[in-house]
Amino acid sequence: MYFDETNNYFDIVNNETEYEIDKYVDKSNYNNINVNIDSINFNRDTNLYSPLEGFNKGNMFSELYSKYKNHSYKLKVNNEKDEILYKIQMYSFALKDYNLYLDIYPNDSNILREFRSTKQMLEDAKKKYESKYGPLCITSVESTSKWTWLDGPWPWDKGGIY
Amino acid sequence: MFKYEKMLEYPINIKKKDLKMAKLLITQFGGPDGELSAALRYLSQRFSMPDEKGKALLSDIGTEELGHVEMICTMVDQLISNASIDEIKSAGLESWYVQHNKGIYPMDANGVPYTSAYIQSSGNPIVDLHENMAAEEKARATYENLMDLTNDESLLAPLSFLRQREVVHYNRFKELLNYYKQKGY
Repeated sequence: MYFDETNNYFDIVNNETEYEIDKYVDKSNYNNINVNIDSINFNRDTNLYSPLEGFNKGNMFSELYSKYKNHSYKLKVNNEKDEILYKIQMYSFALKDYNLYLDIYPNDSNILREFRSTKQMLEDAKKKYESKYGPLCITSVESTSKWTWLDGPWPWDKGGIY
Repeated sequence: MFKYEKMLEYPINIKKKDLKMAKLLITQFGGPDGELSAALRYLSQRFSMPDEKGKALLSDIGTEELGHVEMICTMVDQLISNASIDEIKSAGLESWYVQHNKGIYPMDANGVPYTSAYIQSSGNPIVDLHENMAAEEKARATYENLMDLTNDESLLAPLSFLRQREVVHYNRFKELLNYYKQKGY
């Protein structure tokens, strides 16, 4: 465990080896071994939270998760608009966390696959939201009669997109 | 190039105003260990990163930090925007009000304006990554202190989320630092 919950303290020294870069870099050497790659379990998915759990926690990678005291929160959905928006935020968040990971480990095919499938779900959710509630970014403005970017509340407005 | 998306990274809907918390929380906007410091730190340092991994990671974390600036400002605004003059007086926010009304200004919990003296861009990737790991830890501790000072779940949830991001960023910087040390930078 990276984070010592009892003592509320980051145990850096004892876990140094766990984060040795070798562990990840060496993995690519496996490709040189003459075996069926698909039969080897490179699967890191056991370390990944679902997008919903990861979003609630603020961390997609269970081995990095560190809780503060008993603080743990789950988002509550009040209406359909929230539900689609939270989905967009949730998938965007998962992509962001994969993004930071892939910057360091660009050859992890499991996470690359997660990135691609999550991206598709994000795009679907965005289309659904924007067709009903207005554009989330300038390039989503479709109307030729009205500048719809002004429609709807701003993210900091209460009761709006929050 | 930066593009704006009309949404927060994580939803914020503060249930009740709390002027004292607003005054404390503003430090994560314009204080030494705040999100503005983080964004400017990484987005400045990225120009001296030696390879693609570093350029990418600092750009991507720096960009996320801009989203965190927006989250902090949203929280502060929602905590303060409906306050009456009497509430401002009784919470001791007259000094905020006299200079900024209910405006969101980058300052720390004591009203000290933001300064880029809070950050370093040393031109040396090893030095900068050490600074960044320390900065993420200081921000994490600040979020924990803030969480100790409120019981409002609508405020605790985004604070808990932001605290966790510090943990993730710390680890990514550490992984990059280890990689650079191995590469002999």
